[in-house]
Amino acid sequence: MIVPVKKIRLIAPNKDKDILVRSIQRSGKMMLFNELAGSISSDDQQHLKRIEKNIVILEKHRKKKFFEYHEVDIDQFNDSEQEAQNLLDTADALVVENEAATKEKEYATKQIELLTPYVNLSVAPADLIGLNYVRTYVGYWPTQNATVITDKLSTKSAYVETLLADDVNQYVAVIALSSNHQDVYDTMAANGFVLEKLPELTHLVADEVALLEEKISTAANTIETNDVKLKELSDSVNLLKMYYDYDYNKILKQKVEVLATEKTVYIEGWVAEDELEAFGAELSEMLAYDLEILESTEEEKVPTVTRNNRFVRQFETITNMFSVPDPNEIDPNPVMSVWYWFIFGIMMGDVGYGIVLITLFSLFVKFKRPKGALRQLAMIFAFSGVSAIIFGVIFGSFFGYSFDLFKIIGSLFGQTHWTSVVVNPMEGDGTLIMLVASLVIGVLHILNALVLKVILEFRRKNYVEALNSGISWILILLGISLYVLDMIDLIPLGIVGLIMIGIGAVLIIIFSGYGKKGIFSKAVSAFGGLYGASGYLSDILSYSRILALSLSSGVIAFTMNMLAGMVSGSIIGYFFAMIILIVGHFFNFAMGLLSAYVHDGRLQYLEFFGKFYEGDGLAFTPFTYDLKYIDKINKEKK
Amino acid sequence: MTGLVYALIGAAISAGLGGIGSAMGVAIAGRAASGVISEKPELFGRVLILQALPGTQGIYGFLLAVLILVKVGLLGGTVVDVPVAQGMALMAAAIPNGIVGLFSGIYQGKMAASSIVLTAKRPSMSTRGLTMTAMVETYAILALLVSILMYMNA
Repeated sequence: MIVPVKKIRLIAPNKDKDILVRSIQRSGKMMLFNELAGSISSDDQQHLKRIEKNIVILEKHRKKKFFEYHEVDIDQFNDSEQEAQNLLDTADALVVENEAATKEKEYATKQIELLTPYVNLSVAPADLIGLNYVRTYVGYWPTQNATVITDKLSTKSAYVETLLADDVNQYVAVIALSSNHQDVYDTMAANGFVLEKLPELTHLVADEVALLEEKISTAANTIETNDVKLKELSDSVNLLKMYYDYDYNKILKQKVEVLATEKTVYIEGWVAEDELEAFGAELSEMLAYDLEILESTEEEKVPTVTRNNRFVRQFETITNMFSVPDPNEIDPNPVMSVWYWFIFGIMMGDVGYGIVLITLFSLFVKFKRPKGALRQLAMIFAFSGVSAIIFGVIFGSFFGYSFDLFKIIGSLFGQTHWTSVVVNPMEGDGTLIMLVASLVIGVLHILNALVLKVILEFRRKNYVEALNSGISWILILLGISLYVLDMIDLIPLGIVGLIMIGIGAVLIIIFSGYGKKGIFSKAVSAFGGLYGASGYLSDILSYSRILALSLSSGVIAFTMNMLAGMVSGSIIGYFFAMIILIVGHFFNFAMGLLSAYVHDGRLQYLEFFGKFYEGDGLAFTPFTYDLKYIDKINKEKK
Repeated sequence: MTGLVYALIGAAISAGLGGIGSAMGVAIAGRAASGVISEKPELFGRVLILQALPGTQGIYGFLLAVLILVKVGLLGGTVVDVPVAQGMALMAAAIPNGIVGLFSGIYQGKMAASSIVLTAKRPSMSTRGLTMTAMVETYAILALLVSILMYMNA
């Protein structure tokens, strides 16, 4: 049901500006007329990022908890800023210190790696630079070239000191005379010498390595002690999470565009009519204000508020995925939800899968507490589990095994001929019966859509349109159905059916060209209108997918059971059979769920909505807390 | 035995062509998907569902193949004597499912790939992409239906 929405203006004294915005956010019942202005400033963004980073780090130090639900009282939410900021500063200082220590550790480790081959150098590297008569080169060459190089160098009166040698490289210090040092270097370089740039240390390399090692251990100690502290802090990570949400919403609040006169401020927006009173009452607890109800202009797009019962409400997400209803049309949700639920059940059509749907998704909703569209979807699946069980009983299928509920019940009462299996789509005539049943469902679904179309057009006083594209097709579809029923000798009303088809066609021929000038364009419209029949044909045939999907999940379940039956027999066989059953049914369940979700949606969007639904509405999005970490804020005062 | 051979060729056509179609389709969609998650790893779940969509043709192919194998008694029973006419009828039944599965699998893969790109740009639109991708499957479903009706009467 679509609820009317009122355009209102709230006026408050200048000094109450902040309270006004805060109260609106707190109530969460008003959609602001102007969208939030501008983007978040970079300072604010950085602050948020800083909180987020610390949350991530603290989370790492905490034991992982599945299914965490975080609920806070509103006073706690608003009054914890200082405490949280202190926590943030403490945690941040530790994290920054840790980062510095990690960096130092990494640097020292790298330096040690570089210096280790040269620990045997008996002079401080700084002393090797800027000598008058000799030039020193420190580096390494490939061990295999060692003899060649030393031979060559000995002729050039250079002195070679081997510092370390392994299979690959020989690390050396070479002292050459200043007079021919370039020549010596070129000779070495030609044979694979690599010059090492040692830091200009004023002490021995060995001492430097010892120093670096000490630095590493100090850094490691710092990290260790800080980690202990972080672990202690991680218990209060929820405070930081709350702080993030608080801070973000504070920023949002500042973005609200408040218009001002000399002495007052005012905000305009939308409130659902049935919530207006509660909204006013909630506001008057906080401040003195004045509420004006405004006339909305023609070109303004009024947001849509739908109020439905707990069952139908979940299915709104399916409709909204297509398009949000417009306030001036019929809310399709109450009708659509039942069809979606019904068709979903046939497509799954298995008692076992139905039970899994219900348990899996109710547990998910109960423990994981998803929000928004995800929650609605989970609820839809849980509800549809019920229809899957109903159709599972009708088809006689339990995880693909044949299953007759009433026979089991009957055997308790000594009745042997009771049965609940109405039709088995996988056996004999069952497939054909199910195909016909699917098409019948299609006809009913489409008729339902056409009835809604007629109601909508009558409400808008477009009687011609109602006759032309609503009543005419209802007559034709009903007529064809009657004719078919006569053909298979069920109801002898074939002639009535033919008359209905005739009237429907005449209605289309007359009214399609209504308002068109000239006999030619009227004829073209009439022909075009009748040609719509091909569309109806393909729409109805499209419902055969109900059978196909029901059949495919049924046959695969049956195949898995058969495969499992073939391997079982010994203990190892039973083990493999269990694996086949679990994996196979899980796969089939997942694919069946995906197919049913998508194809059921398609039937609603194209075949059903296509007949009457226009959508293109604006979703009602009240200004409220936008929460990332907290699940719920309790507004009630204890 | 000739009848049996025809029936087996039917099973091969069904599972083989359907499987090829799905494999290609899933690969086409998968290439787009892995490109997307390299930039936006958080979209993995949504993209995976889209990638899985072209996988159904292979399942339909497999399904019909199993039905045929059950009918000739190769699975869960003893091999029955299949008349040549029945064998050929079973082979004919496999053709719509196999051929449509092959092509619709590939095309659905292409469609899924573009829906994946759509999801990358506007994650909130992913369900609409899902619905559009499912349109392609309509024809695989119809072919499966025809195949099963033919199979029932074979």
